[in-house]
Amino acid sequence: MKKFYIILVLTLAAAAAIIVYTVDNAGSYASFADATAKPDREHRVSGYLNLEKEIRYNPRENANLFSFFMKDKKDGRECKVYFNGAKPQDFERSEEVVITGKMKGDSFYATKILMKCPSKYNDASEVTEITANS
Amino acid sequence: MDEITYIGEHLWAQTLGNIFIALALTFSIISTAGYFLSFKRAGEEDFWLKLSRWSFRIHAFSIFAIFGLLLYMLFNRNFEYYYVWFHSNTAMASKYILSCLWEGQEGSFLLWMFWHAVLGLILQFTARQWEGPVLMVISIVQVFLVSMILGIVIGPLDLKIGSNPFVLLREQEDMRFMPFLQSADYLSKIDGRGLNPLLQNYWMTIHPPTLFLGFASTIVPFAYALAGLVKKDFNGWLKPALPWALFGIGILGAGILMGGAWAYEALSFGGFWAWDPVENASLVPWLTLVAGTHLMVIYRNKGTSLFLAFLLIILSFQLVLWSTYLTRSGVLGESSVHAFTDLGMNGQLLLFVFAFTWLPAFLFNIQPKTRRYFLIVSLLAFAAGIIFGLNSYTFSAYLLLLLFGFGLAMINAKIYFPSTKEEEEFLSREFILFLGAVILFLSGVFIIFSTSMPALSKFFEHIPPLSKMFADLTTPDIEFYNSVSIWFAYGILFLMAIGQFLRYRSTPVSLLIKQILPALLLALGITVFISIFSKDFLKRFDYALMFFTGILAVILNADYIRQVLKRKWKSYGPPVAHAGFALIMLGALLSAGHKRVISENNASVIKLDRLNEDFSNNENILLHKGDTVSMGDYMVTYSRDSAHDKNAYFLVDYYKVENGSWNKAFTLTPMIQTNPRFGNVAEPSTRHFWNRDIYTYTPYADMDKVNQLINPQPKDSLATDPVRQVGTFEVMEGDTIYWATAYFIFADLRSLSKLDTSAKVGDSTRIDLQGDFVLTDLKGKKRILTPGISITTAGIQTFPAMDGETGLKVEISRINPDKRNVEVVLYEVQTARQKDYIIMQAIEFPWINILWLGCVLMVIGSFMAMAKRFGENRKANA
Repeated sequence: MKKFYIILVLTLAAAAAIIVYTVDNAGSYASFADATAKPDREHRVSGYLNLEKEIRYNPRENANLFSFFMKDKKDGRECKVYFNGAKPQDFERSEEVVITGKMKGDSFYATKILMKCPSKYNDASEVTEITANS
Repeated sequence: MDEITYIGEHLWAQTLGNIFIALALTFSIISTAGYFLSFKRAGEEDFWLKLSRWSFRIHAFSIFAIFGLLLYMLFNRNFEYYYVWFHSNTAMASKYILSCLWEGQEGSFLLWMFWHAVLGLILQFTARQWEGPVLMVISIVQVFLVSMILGIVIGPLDLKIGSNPFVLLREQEDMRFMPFLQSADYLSKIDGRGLNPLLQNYWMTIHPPTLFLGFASTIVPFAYALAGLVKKDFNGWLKPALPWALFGIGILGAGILMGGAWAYEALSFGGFWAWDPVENASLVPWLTLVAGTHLMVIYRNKGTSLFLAFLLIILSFQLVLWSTYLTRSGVLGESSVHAFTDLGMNGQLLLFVFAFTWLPAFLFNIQPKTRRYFLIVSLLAFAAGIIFGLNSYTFSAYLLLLLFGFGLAMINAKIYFPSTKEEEEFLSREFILFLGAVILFLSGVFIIFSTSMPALSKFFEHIPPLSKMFADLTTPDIEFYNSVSIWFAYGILFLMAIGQFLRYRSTPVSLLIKQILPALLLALGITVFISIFSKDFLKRFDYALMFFTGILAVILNADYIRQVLKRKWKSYGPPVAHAGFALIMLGALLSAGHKRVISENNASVIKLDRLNEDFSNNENILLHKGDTVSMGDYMVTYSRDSAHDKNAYFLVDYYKVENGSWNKAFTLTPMIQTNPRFGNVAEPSTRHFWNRDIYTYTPYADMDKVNQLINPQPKDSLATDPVRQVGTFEVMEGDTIYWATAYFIFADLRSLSKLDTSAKVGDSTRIDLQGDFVLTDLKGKKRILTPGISITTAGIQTFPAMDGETGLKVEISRINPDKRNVEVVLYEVQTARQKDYIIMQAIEFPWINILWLGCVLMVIGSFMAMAKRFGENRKANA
């Protein structure tokens, strides 16, 4: 029975360790300012697409590069975003964009784009997720 | 405003539906109370038992009736009902009606209740002395579930209970002021919103019922466990519950794997498993159910681990409820694409979770004294909850209450759950099983904790130390899940490999070594051989280690049959299921861990690694129509397009170069489905080989081009580009047209009518002609353009041909039979060099068939184990 208790204690310790480790590595919602402050960590920034500035995807030039300008939801700061992948369908329709990635210099390099498009029939919105090249 | 008398509505269905919902609710309550009294009052048992039996049957019948009625309404496209209008339309095929039924929240709750009702009816006939408490638990769960489709609003509190599937379109909150619903004959003018075309496939027909049967099946062992606590028969429940737990493992496993197969085959996720919250939410209850079932096996053989078996079996059902909350409340919001939308039932769903986390905590306090303490504290907490409402503080208080309840129970657990004095050996079957259960449990903790992060972040918003810890957190990324999970995989696979060779109590080391050493050496040999001699497999240590443990588990489970079981085929269940699970892990490792993007892009102008070292030119490749590029072992050409209905297909030919000659190996047709209502969707196309798959899809295509394909505009196919007409010529075969950037020789004009299969009956006057124009550009390169013309009684339709390089477009605008020539119009597109193209991804998934084989074996193995246990129980009862 002694072994049983040792295992039990080890299990609880392992569970605690897993939780702490996961909290440390989970994604976090941030602003572009937060992302600039901690450039080593992945951040999730939600905001709005700036339709007035260039949304650039020229597959003839490069099929793996897409860039746009986004306004931070938290403090309204604008930032250029590069995405290593194709432009998502209906991107201009999105009312809110959530990007995951890191800040480097003045630009944000996204590995994932999640966009919310207004549903045509009710108040709900439809969410689409696009992942960058691995 | 005057009352409008609407025309053509079938209001009787609403009345009938609501009657059945009321009956289902009432009789589930009566059934709960009746079954409770049937074992409380032993003397009057017969009366209460009979009453509750029939109540449950009426309840079950009502559920079936609601199910049938909704199906009937969907079949008849009764668009006066919001649910029917929202989930179906006139155009869709009737074979997808079932999919419409469970696409929405209400319908999927109904599906869940349906299975509970079926399982309950089966248990009425098979549970014998356990019927009362087991059916009581199922009935009370049904009370909560029926409330989810109740759809009543308690006026002054503005409290909405459930969402009713029989709400009329013109009564529905978001819709009722819509102008098109204000006329009496609106019904004759409207069509439904329809089922998302993504869901119109056979997966949507078979995956949800299987998955929900899996979810529903976790209630049976849960109900037996609670029955054990209620009857204070702490170990009798294990025997009848064990085969049901195995049933749950098989069917829930099948449901989860079907979801993975669907994602891989039809959706463009680029893989089998993406650690999406919805996937995780169904996986975790399965993990704890497997862990709990193994603990039950320990108890059946050795008499230990009873308390933990209780906990894990109960936890599995609770996790199903928690998953329901996560995926249906909208709390995951931005972290999942597949979650249901929020129906404003957040509080009700949470209450459901609270009820069935509280009940076991209460029942575990077996001594009247502690039970009383717990009840008093609970009532205080409940009162606080009512006063303060559901918020960060009350949620945390509830967690403390649960901890308090289980703490109290643990103190007294020793009295009821005696432990053996015997010291456990490391090399014993029970110890390995126990360790396996611990690892499964920990992996479950990890996954559910990660998945629940957005919810926890919200719940602990105001609790000082936790609020800081969880602030703004959300789910981790796929790489993190993979990097942690692989540790669990090593452990589970290794234990699965050696577990069955160990005996209960203790195992002689020499015998064990004799039995497993050959397999150990063989597995090691295979792993080392592959990692050294294969081109790109197992080059990472972690992959090699996982492969080693996986292949060892497969070999040893097969060997267990050979060495130990021999012809006792009825006992094959565990080794078959274990080998299946190991094959799933191996298949996932080989196919996902070694997937190879073969669509590498070498021709781009911008080198991306200069922009960011993590960026690459892999994956997406620009493919011009007619161009050939090298991909992996193939030469690939985007040769043609075709369109069918709302789908645009891109025909991509894969050639193999053998002995200097090109042989067409196969053609893949990734497609883009255009849908203004649900958004455009790219669907992959996959070529299956016995040892690998070639997966191809188009993340991007020029939508003008796609729309032109689907809905051809006859005259000018490039309407958006400025096109200039540069000249009109009358030419005979052999004539040449000269232009500044090229010259054309009109080589041939031929009739296509014989080849045309789309010509309608009676359309005999249609003539299709096609001309061959040999173009020579300034560089001296020759190409053939083939403009077409179609002449019918209704008029002329032309199909101009364009040369992408020069931007020249040739149209045969008229046939002059009298002059024996044709009229040709030449256009020049201002933005020249517009060649058709697609952006394509091609990925090779090696050895993915191992994964599918594993899925089949695991499910078969679980059912074999279930059949054996059912058989044993039947013999014991006979």
